[in-house]
Amino acid sequence: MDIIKKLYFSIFLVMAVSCGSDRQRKMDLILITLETASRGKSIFLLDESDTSWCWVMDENICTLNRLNTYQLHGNPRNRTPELREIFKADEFDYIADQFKKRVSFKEKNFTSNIQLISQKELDNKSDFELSIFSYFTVSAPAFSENGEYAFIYISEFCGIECGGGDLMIYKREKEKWVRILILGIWLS
Amino acid sequence: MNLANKEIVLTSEFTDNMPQADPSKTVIQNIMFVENRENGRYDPVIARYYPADEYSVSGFHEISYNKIGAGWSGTVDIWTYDERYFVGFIIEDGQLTATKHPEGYDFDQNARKIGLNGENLDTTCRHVVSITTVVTIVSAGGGSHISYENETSVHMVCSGGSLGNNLGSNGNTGTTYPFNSGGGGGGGGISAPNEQPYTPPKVVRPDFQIDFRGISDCHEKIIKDLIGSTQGEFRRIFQKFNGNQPVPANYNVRLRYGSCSNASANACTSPTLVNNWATITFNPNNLGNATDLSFARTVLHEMLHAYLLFEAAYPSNCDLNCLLNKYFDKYNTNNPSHHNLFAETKFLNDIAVELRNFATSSGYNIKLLGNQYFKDMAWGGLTRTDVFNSLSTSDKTRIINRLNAENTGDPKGNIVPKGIKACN
Repeated sequence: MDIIKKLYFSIFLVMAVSCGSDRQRKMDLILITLETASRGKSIFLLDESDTSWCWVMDENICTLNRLNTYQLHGNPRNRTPELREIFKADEFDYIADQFKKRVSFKEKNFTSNIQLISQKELDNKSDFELSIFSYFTVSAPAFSENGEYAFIYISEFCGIECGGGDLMIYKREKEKWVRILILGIWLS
Repeated sequence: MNLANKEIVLTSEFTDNMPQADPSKTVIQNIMFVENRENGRYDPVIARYYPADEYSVSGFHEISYNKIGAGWSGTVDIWTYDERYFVGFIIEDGQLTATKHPEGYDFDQNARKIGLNGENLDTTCRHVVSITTVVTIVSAGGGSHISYENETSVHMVCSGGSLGNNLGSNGNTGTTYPFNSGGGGGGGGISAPNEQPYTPPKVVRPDFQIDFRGISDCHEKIIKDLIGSTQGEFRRIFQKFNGNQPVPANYNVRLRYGSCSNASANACTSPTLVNNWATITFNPNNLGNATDLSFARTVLHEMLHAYLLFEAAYPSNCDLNCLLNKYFDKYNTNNPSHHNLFAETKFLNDIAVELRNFATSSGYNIKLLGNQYFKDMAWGGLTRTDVFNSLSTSDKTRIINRLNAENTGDPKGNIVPKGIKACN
């Protein structure tokens, strides 16, 4: 009986550690992405992940072919390595599926310069207030099946003709996430 | 004038590309009247548009010689009114890539039509873009400065045939056909070997301009008025988008309505140049109450984005491209890189100046509006930039109120809109 209890405990421990490290891995990614975007300044972040960014003008752009087109017709600095060279279509679908996850950031420990704001608070702002208010949204971080690559979408909303959305792509190198590509998705 | 019921001449190129297509529903043909300086009159010619793929199949009202669509691929062939083929243009993804010319002349009208295949064309001239880099080294004191300037030119290279490389910049071949002087216009009826020589008119290449098809006539008119009023930097930028040379000699932009990811935005620009076309999307929900000056400002702002996207992809000179790269190094993404560059360089003033030019041409009293009005308006979309943040609170409030007043048509604070509602 003791042996069975110990076995269950060991499995629980492995799962807990694994989940903990998975959570930490996702948090690391969100933080470095926000750090890039905020450049040390105080920012507002929507307290829930953006689950709909893949739909642009009624079209799902989160497919390997579509995003590869964005890459090849986008900023020349980010044309290599080509997404199609790194991933197969089914591998990419595994990644894209994770963008649909709704993640709440309310319980996360952000640094003091990241202040959360809810959709309700945004809805209560007048058009005039929204036209001068700036905030960021991020998607749920998405990882390749082998954990080598990570994706996160970030957008900034800052009023009339101000804002943009970009997909950041990272590679795990020496226990750190190194950004390898930025794909521009929209620009205002 | 539509020639839907007239017989259609098919090329092997078309039947190869679209073997299943019904020509009566896919090939467009119409009559154009072209000035013929040889005979001092306007000659009718027949223009035929052969799509290269399903995507390029267009309705009669969707395509014309001066309005080839964004992304359209196919061939535009020009015939004299009595069916003498004299010039054609090959278009790929909305860009002119080659000019076709016939080999000699067949007196039999039917044989002329049947014989119009690739192997019978005297020559095909491809448009070649050359970029020459001029390196300037300026030595002063103990150091030197090196600058690189790219000069872009487009010329045609023709392979074989009697035309050689002697083509002008338009589609004219210089070809002269025997002509029965009894016929009207560009000839008529069955030709005979003893006909008078007839020189078809010079036909300039089809035009690829800013694609307005996705927006209303009213917004199109404002933008055309804006383009016509520009005098400085934006005149050069609009000209870059208004020519018919392949990229990078000219850039391409299409305008349309739609929703932007930023629901508060009046407009957004796609950061991808698909087939070398930029796309600016206007959000009609946010433009409904905007004044004409506010709409013109939005256009200037988004056109500048489109211009910088092309400049990043096809650097024409190091000054701008190197500067843009410095902003990318600092800000990483398009949004802060472009906007901070707008705000920290001459572009901010360029927007103000061109908006004033537009206001002048639209009949506004410029003295009454004052220079501050245009300077404030130029900040639209730039209120998250480092320079804007460094302004005094009173300046920031005045500018934000001005932008919102013009955008909504309602007073904000003590600021009242001065423009008139666009497209009321």
